[in-house]
Amino acid sequence: MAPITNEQELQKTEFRWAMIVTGAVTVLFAVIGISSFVMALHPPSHVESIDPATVSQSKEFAESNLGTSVDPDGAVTVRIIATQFAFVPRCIPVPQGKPVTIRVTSPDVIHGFLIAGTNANTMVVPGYVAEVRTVFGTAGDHLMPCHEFCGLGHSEMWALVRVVPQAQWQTDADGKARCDISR
Amino acid sequence: MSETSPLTPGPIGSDHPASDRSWRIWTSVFIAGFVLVSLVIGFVILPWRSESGVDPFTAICRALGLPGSEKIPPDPGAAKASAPASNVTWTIETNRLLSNASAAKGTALAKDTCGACHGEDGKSTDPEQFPNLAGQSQAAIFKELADFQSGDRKSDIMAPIAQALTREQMADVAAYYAAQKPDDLRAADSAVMLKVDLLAREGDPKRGIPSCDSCHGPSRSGPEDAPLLLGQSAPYIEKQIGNFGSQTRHNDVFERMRTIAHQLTPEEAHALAIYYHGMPASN
Ligand SMILES: [Cu+2]
Repeated sequence: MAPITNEQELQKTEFRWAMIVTGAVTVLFAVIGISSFVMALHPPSHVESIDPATVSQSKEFAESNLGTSVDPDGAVTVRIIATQFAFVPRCIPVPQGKPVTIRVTSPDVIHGFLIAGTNANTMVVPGYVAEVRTVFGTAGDHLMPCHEFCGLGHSEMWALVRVVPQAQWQTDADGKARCDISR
Repeated sequence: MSETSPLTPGPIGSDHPASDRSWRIWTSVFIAGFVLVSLVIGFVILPWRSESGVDPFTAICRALGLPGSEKIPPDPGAAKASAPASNVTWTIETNRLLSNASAAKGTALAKDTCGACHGEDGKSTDPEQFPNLAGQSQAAIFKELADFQSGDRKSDIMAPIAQALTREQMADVAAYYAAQKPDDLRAADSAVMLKVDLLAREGDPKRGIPSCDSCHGPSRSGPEDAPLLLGQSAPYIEKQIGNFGSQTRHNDVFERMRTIAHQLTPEEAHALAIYYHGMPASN
């Protein structure tokens, strides 16, 4: 192709390319905008404070009260401690297709909370209770890694979320559900 | 020379005041409209749509982060919550107590009481039964003493001794032993299998076991009360891992050690104990 020397032609080409770039950027922004609007994506907003130094003495985050519990009215609440360097409990069963409220807090440093394959994702900041509400659609195991560097053992800090089909969902007399694996 | 020098330009748009005004008005309207639409989407429409079972007003308050607007789910389990694993909390008061402690005041106590078993200089008279305390972290000694006192850690020998102490005395004696010089040791990495060496230094991501060193090593970053392990006798370490694994010992807050010890094989526990027993550093 012969080089374009005509000033007008040059401007036309420049304009065309500028339009293509603008179009591409517009499409990308539209995808982000529309999908976040349609799927209601936004950071979980819940401002509730707790004293990080005495979390270990609290009733709600006592050892026996951690994990999945189903209230008499059927509401499912999961309580989790993110600490250096583990999540307590390390396996979390949840019923498939039911709204679940997850409450996490940290007694030490900032941890990350993310359930792979879902939109559950938040920071766990000491001093605050992070809350995530979600519904798990498909049965199976999800990895739940800590995604905020929290110290030397950070890379070993993960838990499992086990989505159990309604038919197999079981709780004990106190409404607690546990994974049948011992980790 | 004209009245305004070319270096100090007149007011912007003074050439075409009329067109400039309408430009300003329309950009202001556009920006204000954009911000308004964004606010409505972000603080009203999205929060309202994504919150199931929350009335629109509460959802909007929550999105704005107004305190008191959060819906805290009922917690029937709290009524029968288990007792905490340990009463020791790392509050400002505890930290102040430890930093104000005096090693000098702890000397007498160490000589009269602790020294008979743990050694006046912190080198135990029988390390298989009584841990070495020289150079141990002050926070760790304080926490174990407090747990012996409260009964969160069981010991027929230590319970009556700890019960006779005040919190200040515990902090003082912990400061005294923390200041003693331990033997110059290094981990016995050549004495054990390679696998355990990796476990101690890097952990096992597959099983979710953080490295021992991440909490118990010299450059640790874990809980304040985690003790240093290097220099304890192998049988003592192995016994403690066993006690955590069998839940006999349970003063580890948030089950940090119980979940790990539970997953270690007896061979791993044995080898780790030898690793942290250590060998002379000059070797
Ligand atoms: Cu973490």
